[in-house]
Amino acid sequence: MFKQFWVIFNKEIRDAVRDHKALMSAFFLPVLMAVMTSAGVLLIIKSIDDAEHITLPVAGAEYAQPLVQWLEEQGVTVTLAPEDPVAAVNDQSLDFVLIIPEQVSEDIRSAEPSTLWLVMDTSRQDLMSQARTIKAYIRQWSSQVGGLRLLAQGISPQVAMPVVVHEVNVADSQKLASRVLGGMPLVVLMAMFAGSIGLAADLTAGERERRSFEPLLINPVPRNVVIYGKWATTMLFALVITVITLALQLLVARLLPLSELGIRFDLGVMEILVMLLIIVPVVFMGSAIQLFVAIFARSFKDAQTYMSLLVIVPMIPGVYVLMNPGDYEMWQVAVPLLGPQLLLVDLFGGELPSIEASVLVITESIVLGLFVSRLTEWKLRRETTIYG
Amino acid sequence: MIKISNLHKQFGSLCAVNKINLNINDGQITGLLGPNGAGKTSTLRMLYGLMKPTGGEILVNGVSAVSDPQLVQKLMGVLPDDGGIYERLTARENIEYFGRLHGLSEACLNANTDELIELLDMHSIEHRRSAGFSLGERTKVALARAIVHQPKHILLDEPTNGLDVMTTRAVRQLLHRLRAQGRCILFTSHLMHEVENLCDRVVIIGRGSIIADGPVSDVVAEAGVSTMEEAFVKLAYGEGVANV
Repeated sequence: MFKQFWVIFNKEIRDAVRDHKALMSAFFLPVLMAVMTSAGVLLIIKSIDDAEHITLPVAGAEYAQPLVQWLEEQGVTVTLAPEDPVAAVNDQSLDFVLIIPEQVSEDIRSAEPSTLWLVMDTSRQDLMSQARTIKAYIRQWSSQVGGLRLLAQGISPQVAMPVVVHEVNVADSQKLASRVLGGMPLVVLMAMFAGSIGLAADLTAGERERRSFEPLLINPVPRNVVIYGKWATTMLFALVITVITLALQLLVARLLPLSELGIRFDLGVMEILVMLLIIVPVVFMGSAIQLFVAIFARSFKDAQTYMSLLVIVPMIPGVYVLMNPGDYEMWQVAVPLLGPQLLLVDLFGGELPSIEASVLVITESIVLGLFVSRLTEWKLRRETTIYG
Repeated sequence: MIKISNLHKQFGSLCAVNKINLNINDGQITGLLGPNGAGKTSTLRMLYGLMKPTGGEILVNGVSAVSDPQLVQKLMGVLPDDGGIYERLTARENIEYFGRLHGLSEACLNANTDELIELLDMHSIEHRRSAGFSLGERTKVALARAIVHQPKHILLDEPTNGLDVMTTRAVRQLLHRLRAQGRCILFTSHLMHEVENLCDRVVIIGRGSIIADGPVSDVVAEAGVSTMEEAFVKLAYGEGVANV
């Protein structure tokens, strides 16, 4: 029986490897996925950069040199303001303009209260956080100068500061990392499902379409051995694609300037091993599901239609994971395909999942895989599958 | 030796095979004839164990094809009516695949494959991938892989369909050779001259039942005509059609 399994496995592998077109498109997928994630992460980095980096045109910078210097120290890029600041902000060619009237230099020298003008469009909600930051910088400078003036009068500046608010940021950089990297497990699982679709369809629906099931099954081979041979082929194929996808995703995560997001991406050997320990059973189950779905199709083309729906299946829990980052309950781990993704998101964030959760996910995938392969075997026993 | 007793197959309300009793002997070529839909293919499918009969029994060398199809498949070589070959495998690889599934040793497999390639004159396609093979070339591959394990019983569904003259002769010679080796050969065909030339015995079935059974000369004489074709038309379709 094992010898027959080996014969079928060998033949299917040889058959699959010779299908160059299908092979190329299957192995192009991981590369495409890597390009997609890189583009996605770079886009996030750019948008965060844009949000944090403030460019402020200043009119009359020469009248308040210390303030301008302070703003530059805070990371604001100070540029020259145009002739008509109000018009420039109005037609949105500039976001803000700070106007420093000539009077200010005189006021500062004589310690008189003075007025600056910040030209902005409050209807532009997207700029409000930048506007708040600019105003906060100016207020800080103002209170520093005020403090110095009080000191000059022999009064402690603290008298003028009854209350001070300190912000405590609890956003853990690794948590943020898992949020940014949360899409990667989904990408890996999708590559697994999409990459071996063609092969699974060829092994089952293709065999029905070519009417070669009949001669094959006239040989004294038990049906389950036929299924195991095809299953092992699909599994090997899916595993290779999945591991390549995973490796490229990890490489992308390592090469991208994630530190600019304050993310520390630093996976150890242990995390990668646990990832593989979770992915292999998922591949085991996923291949079984693919063969089962594909054997219902009478032709290769039909099979591809069914299977393209199958690619969407891991996306449903995947999107759920992206929308609900953070902790999860044990029942969520028990949901097929959702569980592995939750654990993988943890692992991408550098956190090892609990033993119970890992064991649950692994055994569940194996049991489901075996169950589905029995269903495929049942379908292959039906005369309508061979002759239909 | 294949013993068919009371073989019955029902598809819903349609009776495809109606209580057939038939012995197919070793060392003989038996031709199974019948119009389309007469129950030939269904009978063959039940013989090689891929279709379960509604009733009756089939014994191949004393082994039941109904209760132990896998064991029967070991004793049989089958060329089905529509045998897909694997297009990305070469002719030789196609033949070897089935030989290995039958558990042949590599030495035995090589010797048998070489012999069949020689007999069926397949040297030019031996190492070519099967995609793009002509119908004749496909049939040769399918035939060779069906008998690579040298089975005692050989079932062929229209083996010479679409073959050119030279290939048909090669197949005919192969069948004679297999008969001389004492094998039990059953084949179906629509080509009456083929049947006349090859068969030691013909069995005509129509609407699921046996209409005539015996050597070609007996069947022709019984029908009161002069050729196998006339006999077939008369027996299978009835008097009225035969006179047209």
